[in-house]
Amino acid sequence: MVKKDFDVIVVGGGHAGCEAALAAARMGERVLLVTMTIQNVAQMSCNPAIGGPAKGHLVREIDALGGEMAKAIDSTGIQFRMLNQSKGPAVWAPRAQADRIEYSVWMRQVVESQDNLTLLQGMAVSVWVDGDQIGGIETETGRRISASAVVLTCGTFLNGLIHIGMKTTPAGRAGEFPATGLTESLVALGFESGRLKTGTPPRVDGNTVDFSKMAIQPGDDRPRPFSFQTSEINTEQIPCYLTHTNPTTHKLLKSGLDRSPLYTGKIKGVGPRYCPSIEDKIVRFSEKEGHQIFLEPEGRRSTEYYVNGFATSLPEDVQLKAIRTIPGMENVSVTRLGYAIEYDFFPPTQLKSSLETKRISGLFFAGQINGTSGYEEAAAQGLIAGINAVLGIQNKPPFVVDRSEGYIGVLVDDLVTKGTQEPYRLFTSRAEYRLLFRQDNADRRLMRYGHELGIISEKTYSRLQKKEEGIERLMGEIQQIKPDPETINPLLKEMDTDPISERQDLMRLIKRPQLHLMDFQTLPEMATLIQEMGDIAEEVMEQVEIEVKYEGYLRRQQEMVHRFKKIEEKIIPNTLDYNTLSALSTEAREKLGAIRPQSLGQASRISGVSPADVSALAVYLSKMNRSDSHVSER
Amino acid sequence: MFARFSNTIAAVSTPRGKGGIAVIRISGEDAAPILRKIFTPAIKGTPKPRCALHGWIIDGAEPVDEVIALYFQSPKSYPGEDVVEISCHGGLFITERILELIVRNGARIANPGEFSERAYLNRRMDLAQAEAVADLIQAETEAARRAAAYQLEGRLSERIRVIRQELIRLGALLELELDFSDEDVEFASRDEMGDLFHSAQKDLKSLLDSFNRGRVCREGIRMAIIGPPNVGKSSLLNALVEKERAIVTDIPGTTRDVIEERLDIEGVLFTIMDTAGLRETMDPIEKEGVQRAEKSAQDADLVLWVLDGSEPLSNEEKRMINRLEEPTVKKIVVLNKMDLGIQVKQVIIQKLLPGSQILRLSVTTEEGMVELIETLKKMALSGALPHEGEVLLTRERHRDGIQRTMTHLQEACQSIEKGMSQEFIALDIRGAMDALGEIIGETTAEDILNKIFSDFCIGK
Repeated sequence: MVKKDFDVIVVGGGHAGCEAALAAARMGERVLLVTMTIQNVAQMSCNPAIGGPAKGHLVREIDALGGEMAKAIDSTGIQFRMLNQSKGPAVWAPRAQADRIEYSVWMRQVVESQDNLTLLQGMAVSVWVDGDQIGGIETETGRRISASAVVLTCGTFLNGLIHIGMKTTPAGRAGEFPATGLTESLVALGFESGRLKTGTPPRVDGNTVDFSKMAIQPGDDRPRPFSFQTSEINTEQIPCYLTHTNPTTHKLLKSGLDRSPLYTGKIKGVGPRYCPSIEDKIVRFSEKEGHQIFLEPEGRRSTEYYVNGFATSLPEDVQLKAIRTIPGMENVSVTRLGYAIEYDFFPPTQLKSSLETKRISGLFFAGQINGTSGYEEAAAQGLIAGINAVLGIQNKPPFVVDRSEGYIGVLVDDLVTKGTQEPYRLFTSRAEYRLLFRQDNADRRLMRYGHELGIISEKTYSRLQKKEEGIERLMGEIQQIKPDPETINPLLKEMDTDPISERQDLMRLIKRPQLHLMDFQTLPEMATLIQEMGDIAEEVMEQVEIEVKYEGYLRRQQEMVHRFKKIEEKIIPNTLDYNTLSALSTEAREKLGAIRPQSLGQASRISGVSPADVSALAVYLSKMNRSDSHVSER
Repeated sequence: MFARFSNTIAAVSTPRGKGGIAVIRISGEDAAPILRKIFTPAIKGTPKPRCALHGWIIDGAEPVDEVIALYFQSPKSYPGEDVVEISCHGGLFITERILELIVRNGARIANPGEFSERAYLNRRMDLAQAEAVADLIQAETEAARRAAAYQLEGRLSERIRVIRQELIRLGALLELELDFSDEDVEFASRDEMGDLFHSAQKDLKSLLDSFNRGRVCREGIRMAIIGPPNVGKSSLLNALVEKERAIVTDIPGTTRDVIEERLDIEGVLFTIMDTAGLRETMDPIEKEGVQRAEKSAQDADLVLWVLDGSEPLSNEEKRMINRLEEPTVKKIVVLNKMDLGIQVKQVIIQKLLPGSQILRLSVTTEEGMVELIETLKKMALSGALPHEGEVLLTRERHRDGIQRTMTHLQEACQSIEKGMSQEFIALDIRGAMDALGEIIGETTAEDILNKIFSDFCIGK
């Protein structure tokens, strides 16, 4: 066999591409990362922030599996907040403002200094295949580069088209070339493509903003890191600012609707419903007199601000006039216009759970090419695709996180099973077992996989093992430690909870909402334990306390997971001809035939497959297993 | 259930046997092509949807029968696919011959209920409605017919959908607070949430309470006639159904097996079970009969204790009554043979069978029979005919779904009272939505998010 130029080629240097390339290289394969502009590696094309509900969870999971995103934001964040702290621990969500420039520089350094990883500036215009196996890519300059696996992470670049008013410009991002040729090369191979749209707001010069007219939004006093490997964050934090649009703004925006590419039907791609443009908001919710506008700093060494909440593709003159009606921005100078961008994507139902295409073996898709939006969603897919590209080369079974293990599992399963009609964003409500998917236990859920794959170091993993031991030990101890009423009642009174009349163990006590394990740290037994556990004491106490306090709910979710696993274990033979199953609806037959679910569980999540279809399928599978387990349909 | 060959099904839709006409139904994509092969219209032309066509069924050149054919085009048909209905002459042989011809031309024989199954699969009906079709066909009384017809109209589904919509709205409000906590939108107040839960629970409770009545409508009342040997149980059965159904002799232990008869009282179906007389016996056949009698008493909705009123109760009889007494089952005690004078004391009966209604009668002279019938009528009416448009729960599957929904709502209320945050409440909202969705066969995955996107201005 002729030696390939590389083992893995990653096309695209965004959040998906960087994770894919780093994971593959760290797993020991020779990797080429091809990007159109090296200085734009890991660029944040839209808002300079990472995290939030579900997204912050994803970053923690990426970190637990050995990805890079969490460390990057820990190092380059300029404001950290833990969202939803008034709610239960499952929905606490870390979010941070990033220094856009620093983030990119930081990631570029990591990529450049990674062994086995070669960086190349260029544009891939096509992929070539050898039968149904990927062969490699061809660049714009005609160079053919061979590889055993190719990961495409093309972002919004595939035939990207920017709209500002009635003016359109082919571009991958403002000021950057679009990627041409690749879509057509994939369509020629039989892939189905679609068109999506997303938008971004204007940026303004902070020197021309009157921040005194806005509400200041500081970060948390004690920033908490994203990565399990970052011990603390000490950098100075920069605030964001909050202001609002008003009826005058809305009137001006409305006056431009006749030149809006969105409302004149010029834009054909489907945009995200959860992230509407400002013109969309004033039309659909015309009764609202004001909309929130956040000014987010772009970085420490820049005076630019990102005008969050003001995404628009209205004409330039309308943007400029409307933005100046917002309090604090009366004299603002717009540095970059808002715009909408249309781009090609490939409906992700064409992928397996490994993110490998069903059609071409060795070809993987990750990120916006799959119809997702968001840096975190992209990074998670990049990581999974990079890992599976390597496992494929090494003839190992693919790595799949299932829906009961984490948000990454929900994300990938949603994509490959349900596909998407609009840019897909992860929400906590998409997860069935949300109470188990906490940001605080991502390491306990997933780090062992990262370790098995060889991308989590022994040192990091041994810390987790120490933590697990600590949790087990503390869980036992708190059933033994029984403070007497005299010692503890003053504390109980102080915490505004009923006194005890006889000795009660700590486990029972911390079930009370007012009480926390930390409150008992001065008890001699606890003090000794805490001292012995050292730097993991706080994390251990947090885990124990959550498990004790929410025990009933967590148990119910575990039972749900148990039921989920059962139906997920019912495997559907890949060769099953759905057309022979007359008990299925026509729609179900079509959908099942196209998606070819691997299990009954996956089949049940396909839209258009009703509960009746699922039970018909279940009956068939059990009949088949009973009647001819040795002469199956293979 | 799973054909390898054809997805077009056919069946004789009218009962087997001789009749003026019979209807044969063909459903599936080959319905029209099959019709073209086996049918020659009297007046040439292609069949128009929903227009009756007169003509001949032909087998090759051989005319088979003169018929009326009706063509329904997908999706405007009962199962939602192409359908042909052939009204032919109603002989057993002729219908079988035409059906065979249809199968030879590419259809297969339908399984029981398959037309309705397809109607459900093709979204022409929801699950509760499809079940109603089966109930309507099975209906033997007016009460059963009405309950099923209202359900088929979609009234149960509608009630459930309304509650489910409320839950989706609530779920959306909760999720909004979790996934869009940074947004400038109004969140649900705990009080409003609590109110919504309570009103949903009230609604579900009233549905749940209708289950017993609904079941009576659908299945009728099972009434066991129980008592010692030779007290006139079989005579009473015969008198009630007004025919000589059970063998009546003076020999104790004549009735060995359980004899069932059906009777329509005020539109409610009574299934009356005459049973072997209860006594200790060595005869293995009679012993088995006694066991069956006891089992009938346990399964019955209503037990009719028949005693010989003219003789004081023996100790064996008292023991027997004591053993079978089931406080939760409704009972009527009939003291028979009142024409011979009443010796049994009411107080003893009230002690042995508390809460039972006591009637005196004579099957022989028919004295008191009217009162018994009146009593049964009252019982029938108390749990009987659904009034205009009333929705009754008639199936165990529905009851179970609603029961689980209510459990989830109770848990959700507890979470609110304990001050738990949204995600804990949302857990049970989703559980409740899923349980309701099972009744009508709808899944929930995207419903909440769609609600959020359509109702709230979100997205920074």
